Amino acid sequence: MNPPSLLTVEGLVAGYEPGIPIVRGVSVRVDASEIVVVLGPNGAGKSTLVKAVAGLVPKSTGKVLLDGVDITELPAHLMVRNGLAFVPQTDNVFTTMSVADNLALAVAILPKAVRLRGMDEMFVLFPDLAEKRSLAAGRLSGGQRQMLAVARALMVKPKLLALDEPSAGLSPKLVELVFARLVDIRKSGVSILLVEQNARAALSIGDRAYVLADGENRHEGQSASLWSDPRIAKLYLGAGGSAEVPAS
Amino acid sequence: MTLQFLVDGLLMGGLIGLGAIGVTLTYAILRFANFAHGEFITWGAYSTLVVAGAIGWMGGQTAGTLGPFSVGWPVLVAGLIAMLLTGLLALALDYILFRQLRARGNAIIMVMASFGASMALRSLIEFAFTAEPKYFSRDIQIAIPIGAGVRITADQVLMLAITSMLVVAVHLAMTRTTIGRSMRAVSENPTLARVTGVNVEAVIRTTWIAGGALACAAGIMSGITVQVRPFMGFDLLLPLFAAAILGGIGSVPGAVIGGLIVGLSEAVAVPVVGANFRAAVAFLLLIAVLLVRPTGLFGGRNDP
Repeated sequence: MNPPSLLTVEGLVAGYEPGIPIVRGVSVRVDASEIVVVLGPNGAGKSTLVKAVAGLVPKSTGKVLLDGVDITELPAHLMVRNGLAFVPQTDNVFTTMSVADNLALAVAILPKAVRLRGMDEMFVLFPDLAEKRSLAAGRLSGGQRQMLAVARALMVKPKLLALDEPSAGLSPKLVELVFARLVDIRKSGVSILLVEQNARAALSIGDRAYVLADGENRHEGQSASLWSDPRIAKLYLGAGGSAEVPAS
Repeated sequence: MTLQFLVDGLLMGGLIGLGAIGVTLTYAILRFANFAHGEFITWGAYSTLVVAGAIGWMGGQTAGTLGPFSVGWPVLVAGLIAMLLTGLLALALDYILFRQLRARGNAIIMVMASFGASMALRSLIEFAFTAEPKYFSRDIQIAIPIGAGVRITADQVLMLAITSMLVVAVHLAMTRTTIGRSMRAVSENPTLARVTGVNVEAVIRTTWIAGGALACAAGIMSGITVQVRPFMGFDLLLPLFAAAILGGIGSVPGAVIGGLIVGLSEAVAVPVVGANFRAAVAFLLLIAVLLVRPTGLFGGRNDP
């Protein structure tokens, strides 16, 4: 028998209004030290899925297990204590607070046993932030903000890092930079659930991927095999059809 | 014109500032204008009277007054107890009323409900204590000249000192402590705060208790300087909002500086335009700020 997954999402139904589900029975699995990508066209429910997992969108049925613990009913603010850190797509740093205060807040509200990473460790991983530590986060560039958002999530040393479109609004060069950090983070033993619109960049670092459409699972597989499937690329990934699919 | 207005203005301004801290925090964190905040000032003053009376009754008549001040230690002890009680009153009001309405997420309904709560709380005071003004002390205080034609009483010195201490304490709490950072976090972005692990409900409770306690302190000061009457808090409501908006919603130093500006402006203007137009001064300042700098002097936030 296989060891249990780190994150298991089973038949999840979720939506903002009762009776109007946006995610309609999605199942997703993330294993230890794995980067799993969730793709899909606009309105597929991928963002709602990750927000529901993080406790921000009400779930009506289904189950979310993290490391064997049922976290389905857990309120959002207790997720970090249970090892799940979430980086929202927009407004993901406190702009009126300094870089250091953003990071300090992330750990200060947790019980001592959970405060594992020091701020210095974050500044080694994100050297750009070190020199801006006393600057208000609102004055950072887009890329630096995204780095700070990820650093904030990592402060609590999560088992799983969930990100909602970290590439949004970034130049291709910055996307490459942010995604390279994600690979480093995975190397340190943190699993990653990555919801993305930018299929090319996401699949280039992902191990496995799920494709959602209309709030349901549509395809899943190894990143490489999904990339080379022109049918999927054309239908869901918005990559502009088979012509753009690389030969890998 | 002498510089006497400085003393009166600073005193009034400090008092308005203390009340405005609660207004600005409630506005920033719960996202609605709480028109019942003035009643916390009134309830704070009356509960201090009641508790001080109880202490005096239990401790006999030995209390007397303290040093050069018009009030004795029972009022100071009662003030601390009343601050806690007023904080709990604010918390209870949230539990009974605002929490239920928050779940429906309609800010206008919450503002209207706060009007209703304001009337109910005020009427309860009138019912229990009548509209007759009450006093902490009937002593007459001698104002001591301190130069430049300015006179100040011992009470006024004490109140300026307590106000400064409270303001510094709140500012340090907001900038240096975890609960303070959590409050700023919720005020800026409640969703991100939850994701970061902030217990938003706990932050809301702290906000009510702090706002209520500071309003109580303002009420005691207003009661000692003037008198204790059922409309004392309601009459301060406009200056409180003027100060909070002037300083920028969500900013504690802003609320205090806004309070000082309103207090000093009133003190300057009243000898010129007459006491009947005292409220108009706060109104004019409010309108001027909303026209010129809607986010306030220190505010970064622009959302309602």
